[in-house]
Amino acid sequence: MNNVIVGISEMAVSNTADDVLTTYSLGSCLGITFYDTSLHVGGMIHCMLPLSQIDAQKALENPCMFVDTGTTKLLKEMFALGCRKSSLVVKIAGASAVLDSKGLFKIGERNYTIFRKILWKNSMLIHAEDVGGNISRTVRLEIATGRVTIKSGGVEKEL
Amino acid sequence: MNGNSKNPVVNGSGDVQGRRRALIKEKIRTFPAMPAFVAQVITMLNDPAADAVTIAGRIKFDPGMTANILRLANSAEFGARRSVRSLQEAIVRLGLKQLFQLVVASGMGRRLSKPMPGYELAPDELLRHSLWAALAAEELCLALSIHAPDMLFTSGLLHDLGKLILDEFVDASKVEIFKVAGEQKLSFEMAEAAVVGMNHADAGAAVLDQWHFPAELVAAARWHHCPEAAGEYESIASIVHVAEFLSYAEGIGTGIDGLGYHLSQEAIDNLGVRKKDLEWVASHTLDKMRDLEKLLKD
Repeated sequence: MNNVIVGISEMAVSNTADDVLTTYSLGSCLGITFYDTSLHVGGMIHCMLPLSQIDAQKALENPCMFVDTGTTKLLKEMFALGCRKSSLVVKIAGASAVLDSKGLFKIGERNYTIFRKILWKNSMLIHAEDVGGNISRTVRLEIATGRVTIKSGGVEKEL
Repeated sequence: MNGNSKNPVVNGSGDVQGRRRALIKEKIRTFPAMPAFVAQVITMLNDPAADAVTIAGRIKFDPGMTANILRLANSAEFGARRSVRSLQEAIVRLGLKQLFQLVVASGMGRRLSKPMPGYELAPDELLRHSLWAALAAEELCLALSIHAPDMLFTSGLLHDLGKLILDEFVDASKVEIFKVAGEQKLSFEMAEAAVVGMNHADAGAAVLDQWHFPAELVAAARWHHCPEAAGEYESIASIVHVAEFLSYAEGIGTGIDGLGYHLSQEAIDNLGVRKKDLEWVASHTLDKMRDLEKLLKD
């Protein structure tokens, strides 16, 4: 098994059966996985912020930082490998919240909302999600099977 | 002094708490001093008579630090038009403030890199969290167009030093801390104080005080979870508080405690932080973080 680590504002796409894509400690960030069930190609991205308009220059340098530009980039790379929208399974995790009564730090919720909008525009659906709450999550995607697992507070479960 | 605005109680455990507190105090007393080299350089940096020549004369005996200083001075951030080869020239280009930051970061890096089973932080996670808080604090000042206090970066870097002291105590009482936090609806540092006898903010401040760090820096560490109680140092404590909160929100060094702290609305209001400021700071901090991690790597 080959562990491919996806850092904050990074993405990875693989069609190597041996690979497991992993992203650690998602807080308000959104971890997105796409998996093509017929080609066994998987992609993962760890987006930090919802919209690229906050910093156009940064979005050019590093589109993976933002949910809007990052999702588009990940989809493009997957399509380039022959993936089709109709066979993509979408699973997401993260978007948690910190204890902030007035919601100034609702970055997680905004990340989630923007992602849903993008999928809706692309006529795609979220197949499974583990989002929100006050917890930190680690996500893995096995390229051979498409299995996605979430680990939080020492407990691992399949998504 | 206790960094809490409330004093939660754990029923019938006063004696246990007292004993733990005594153990913690002993650990603070015997906590290793700042690495000698770092302490010497800091003393020199605070000495008005010391110039670049004297400081370079001391630093040149530490090859790792020398390399870091040269690399930073030649980095794009300093608009290196022509490359700096000598340590003395590098020190002049960086200035004493930057040099102080770099010496503390290089000197403390190894200690902050230890894994912490109590707070459930992997190796390097506390260092990443500390660097993130330090950088985000500076970026926050830029975003808000406010003057960054001189000690801000170093305050951010050392705000969680107390976790090195308390990790073993937290490890032994994790279940109890969460039980108390849940039952009494307390933020993590309050439950930590209620169960182990002291919170990590007070423990860190005690060490920094023992190291004779400036009062401003000690106060920022002590009050980083309750900045409105920091008196004349409220501003620096508030900036560190918000920067650290952002680090947790982004999942940097979150551990078991990171999402269990309360945001100080007073800090937000006093600094005038808006949602877009936070996002701007987060995006800029990430890039600076990558540069700094690279710089401190070896």
